[in-house]
Amino acid sequence: MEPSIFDIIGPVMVGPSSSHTAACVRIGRCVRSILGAVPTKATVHFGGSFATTYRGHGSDRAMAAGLLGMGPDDPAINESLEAARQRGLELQIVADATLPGQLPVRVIVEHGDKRLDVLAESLGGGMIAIRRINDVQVDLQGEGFTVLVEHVDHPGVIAHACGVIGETGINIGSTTCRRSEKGGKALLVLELDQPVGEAVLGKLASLEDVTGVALLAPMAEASDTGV
Amino acid sequence: MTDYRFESAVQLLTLCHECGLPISEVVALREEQLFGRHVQDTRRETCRRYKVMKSMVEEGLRDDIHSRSGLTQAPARKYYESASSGTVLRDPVLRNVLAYAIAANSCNACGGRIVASPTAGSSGILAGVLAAFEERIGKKVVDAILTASAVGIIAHKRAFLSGARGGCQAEIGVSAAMTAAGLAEALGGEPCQCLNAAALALKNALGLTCDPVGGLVEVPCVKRNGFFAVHACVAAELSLAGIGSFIPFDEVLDVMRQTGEMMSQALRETGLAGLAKTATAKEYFKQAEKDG
Repeated sequence: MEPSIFDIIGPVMVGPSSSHTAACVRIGRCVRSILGAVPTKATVHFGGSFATTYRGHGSDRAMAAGLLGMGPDDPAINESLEAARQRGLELQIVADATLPGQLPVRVIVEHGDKRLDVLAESLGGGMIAIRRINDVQVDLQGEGFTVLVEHVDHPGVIAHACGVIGETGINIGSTTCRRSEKGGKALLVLELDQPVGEAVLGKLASLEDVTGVALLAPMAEASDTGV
Repeated sequence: MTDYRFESAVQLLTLCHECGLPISEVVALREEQLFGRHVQDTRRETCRRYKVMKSMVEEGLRDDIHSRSGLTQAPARKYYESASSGTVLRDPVLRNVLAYAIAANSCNACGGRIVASPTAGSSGILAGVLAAFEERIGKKVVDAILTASAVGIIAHKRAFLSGARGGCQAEIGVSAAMTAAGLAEALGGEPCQCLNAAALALKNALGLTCDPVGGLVEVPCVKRNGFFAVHACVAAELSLAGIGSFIPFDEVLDVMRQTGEMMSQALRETGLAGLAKTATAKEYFKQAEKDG
């Protein structure tokens, strides 16, 4: 990935660590966007150096803040564990040395009958990558507006989904589609030049064989609210 | 059309020569090419981030600022007050560099709003140096930040920017290199002098481990920001005086990456060795637990 000036001189954030605090807010916020709601239950597995230092770095607070929808520069991060309790988010932390990668975090969240299992990695300086969503490998680094279309691996779904975006006149910058197995769960990732509205997301969600839709805003814009 | 992307200091220098532009302008044109952000908007956003940096210094100089752990208690204020005329450092700008960098990183340790550059743990260096030099360099603080970001971009692509990956050299070392380059440009240095300043700064921070007490970003981080802010000024001073680094920046970065890869994980932000495991550190936390 090509970093922006503001990936290096940024994020604007509440400390103490860009890789262990701001990155966790961003990961939590991403997971919340994919789930489409504040979860009622979240189990967070911290790997790598998170496992021994997450308390000191406030990674647990940061994750709660992100899951509640806060950005990395929100002063309320300092009190987010209390806020999570008040808003009915049950947060469980597990130190997990078995996770792959240098600074990995696995987040398993639930809301109603929805369950989501995400593997992410902190890349340093607040930058993150989402490595896996449920059973599907991905590589999302939050550069642009990204639409995720979770579907069953059947013929025509990709064409229909791209068609819905095409009708809006918004350009698709890149597409990737991966599946867990033939005919199994699949995930279409569309990076767009501009965001799409709720109506378009609704249309995507109503397509046959589509099981879930989410829009992720660019990491920097979603979090850095400026001064 | 010129491709403004660069993977190394050598490529960045070639771009500067071909376009006849300083590093700050090349990196702003890269931003426009890659992300569609107009140069004016980039400068405006950079200016806004500099305002956050100044607020970090201001916050960190307050006499009542303290961290949850109690390990950080207004160190910048204490120094600022006791050293008003200077004991060892007689240059007021250099004293401010030291005080402001410690202040800016205290703000981070105490839960304040900061701008990572390139990381939160090393965020005091660029902020402290620029706040101290603002009177002298004026609006060039924006050029300095842009040039610093170019150095950070190369470090990110060629090595890494986190203590967990490469030890403190990857945070403080890179931050000092970025700041040295930015300061050199703001003081009239040529692009090659900026990157030479970066090489000098990083070369002399190689091997630094990340072993913070209690896994907190306080000891040694807060005062280390002060030390390496002065270090960055020394690198810019030497480079602008024509003193070259025998090893160029790209090679120093490669060495940093290799050194980081050879470093035991215990010394990479895990709190399992080094200062974190000293008798004093253990005693502090035993006592803190007893006190609840």
